[in-house]
Amino acid sequence: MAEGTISRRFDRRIFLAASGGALAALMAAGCQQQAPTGEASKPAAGAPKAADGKPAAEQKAPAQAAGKAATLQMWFDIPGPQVEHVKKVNEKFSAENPGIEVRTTVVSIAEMSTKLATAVAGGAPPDLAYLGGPTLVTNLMAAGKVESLTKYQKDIATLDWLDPIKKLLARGDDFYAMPVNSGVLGLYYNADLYTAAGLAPDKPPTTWDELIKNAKAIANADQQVWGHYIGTKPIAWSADQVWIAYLWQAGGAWLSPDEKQAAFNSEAGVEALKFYVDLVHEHKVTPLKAIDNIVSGNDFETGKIGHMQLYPIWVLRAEAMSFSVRTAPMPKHKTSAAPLGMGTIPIFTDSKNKDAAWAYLSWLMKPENAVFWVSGLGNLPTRPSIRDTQAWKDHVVAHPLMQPFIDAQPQAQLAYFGKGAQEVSTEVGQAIESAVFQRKSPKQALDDAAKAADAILAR
Amino acid sequence: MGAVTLTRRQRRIAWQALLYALLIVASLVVLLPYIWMVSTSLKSSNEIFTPVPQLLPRNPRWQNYADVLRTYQVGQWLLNSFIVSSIEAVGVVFTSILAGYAFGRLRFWGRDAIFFIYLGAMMVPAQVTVIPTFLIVRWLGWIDTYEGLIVPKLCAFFGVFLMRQFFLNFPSELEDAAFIDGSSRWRALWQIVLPLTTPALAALAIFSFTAAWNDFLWPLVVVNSEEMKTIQLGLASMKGELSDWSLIMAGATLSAVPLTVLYLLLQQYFVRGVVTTGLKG
Repeated sequence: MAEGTISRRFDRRIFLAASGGALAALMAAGCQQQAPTGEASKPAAGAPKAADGKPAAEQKAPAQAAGKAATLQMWFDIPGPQVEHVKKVNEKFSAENPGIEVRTTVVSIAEMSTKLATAVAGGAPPDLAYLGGPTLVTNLMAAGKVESLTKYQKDIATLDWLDPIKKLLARGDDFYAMPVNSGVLGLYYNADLYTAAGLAPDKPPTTWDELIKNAKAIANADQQVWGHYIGTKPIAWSADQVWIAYLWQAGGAWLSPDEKQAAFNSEAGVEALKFYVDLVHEHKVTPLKAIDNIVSGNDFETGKIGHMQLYPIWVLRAEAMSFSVRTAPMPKHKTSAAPLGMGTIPIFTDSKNKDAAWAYLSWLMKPENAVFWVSGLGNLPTRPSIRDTQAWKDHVVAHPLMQPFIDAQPQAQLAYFGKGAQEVSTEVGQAIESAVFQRKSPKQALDDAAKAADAILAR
Repeated sequence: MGAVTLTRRQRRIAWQALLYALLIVASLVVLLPYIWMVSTSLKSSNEIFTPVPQLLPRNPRWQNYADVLRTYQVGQWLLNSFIVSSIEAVGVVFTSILAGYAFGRLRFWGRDAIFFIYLGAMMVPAQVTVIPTFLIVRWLGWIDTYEGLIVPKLCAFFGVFLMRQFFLNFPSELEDAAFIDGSSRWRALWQIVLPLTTPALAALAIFSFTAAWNDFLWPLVVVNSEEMKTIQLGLASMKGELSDWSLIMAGATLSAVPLTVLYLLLQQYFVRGVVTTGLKG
């Protein structure tokens, strides 16, 4: 019998009863939700709404407005042992600021932008978010989603922050995020391989020529021993962030002074990329493969790599290796140069606990707390005055691998972080890969990337 | 020298041997990452990054499993994933049955138009709807809760489409016989039709459970605390430049266990479902 000929009607009463029951169960589940432990500040479903439509629990409670009691939610983007240290920092803060608890959630750096963008667009940002690198914080500043800290401390923009950091975060008298740590790209080298190759382990390369000479002495293709690692992975914020050091050292620039056109395809850029290509194909001291910071670090740990370049956050791991690791500033060419790394914590305009968040940041500004924060993370301070404290000096004595990074910090520069920075970064990364894998000449690869970058910057 | 002549039986054996050899190689290609994952989960940190990669650990370090459970909230993350995936799978099957049946067996005004609009929604990438869904979930106060994780995923376009196609091809005579015997449509659906669709339902349940278990984007945006993370989210948050890879691999191995057990338990239904519905995993 055909479907349409069936005269019996669907039993609507049963269907409606079942559907209604299911809906009621779902709503009840929502209404009866239990906040997870410690999430006391979270509004419950069905909670009374204020006139602006926000759940009432999102309105500032008087105690929180006074900065006296709150549970702060902090997103932190460095997974691994650093998380435990941040929890200790937060416990110290809570002990000194009774009533304010800081709950840390790890969001890896690869996912932070997605999560943060959704939360900010949805009007539900965290109270605090540790943001590695300059891009996210500048995007948030441009979107007007972070508070000027000047309203909490009038002279904050005039403190002795490192110049590139001040340039990044200050707009006139306003200052938009707390710089909590910095870093600088430096050289890690295997002192045991130096000794085995007949090189003096206390004499790291200071120029490109010395780098090649030492790398050639160390490299042994038969035993899969490599002299030097470079970044070649063609994704954003990877290969280009190492290569930019060589570009600057060759006297080149990333963009034109008005930041409207690419400048990395200059003669200096071609020289820097040819240096990469020669390391792989002429000198044969670098393997031909996709390399990023994680691959560099992991391969270095095998004890078969002469040099690599990474940030000081890696010192803690290097100290635990089964061979002798030493550090040095990046070798220079026509000039000395290295990119500056940094981490910031902003207060979001839609944050529920701004005063308590400021209480946390101002606490973190105190020298002893600033040193506590950076020392456990393996980073550098963001203010010269912090470097002069006894606590920091003691830390460096205990961790001598930090010293070359501190020495290099005053010359460090920030990479481009403005409009289209991520896309330009990807284009340059792909150019590096194309040249190193010999699909294009260094000049052709950089010219193609520059053309794409110009189009990105012109949008 | 004359050419070697093979009998028909010998040719068949040779062909089968070649086939098995290819299948074994293909299986190894698929299995190798899993073998490497389990192997790495049993290595010490020093054994992971060695000049010559070692497939098997010299001294299996079972302590890594205890360490990952102690250091991270892996147990809680697994429990969250299990709760979320189970309820989502049941919910998707339930809503897909009702909607699929309505679109496939009932006649009502605008049925096909509604279905094609609904079908069009399948083409919209999840990224597009994330922020609107997030706003609704936030308005309901469901951020960082099980409800927030589960409710937006209780209805799946794919499931509705699958069940509708299945119901369209279901022989109407069986239902008609039930109606003649006095059955209501509701009863016919649950007592006549559904028992005969078990393979399709099992396949849909497994696909839904797997999709929920592996879902990353939605948990990423809606979960704000360590306690509410799902296992995939938790594993991702363990990965960094200074992370201990043996612990990450131990966590990854633990995360694969429930899906493997589920598949082994429902394997026969799953295979029949794939054959019946034309699905491919």
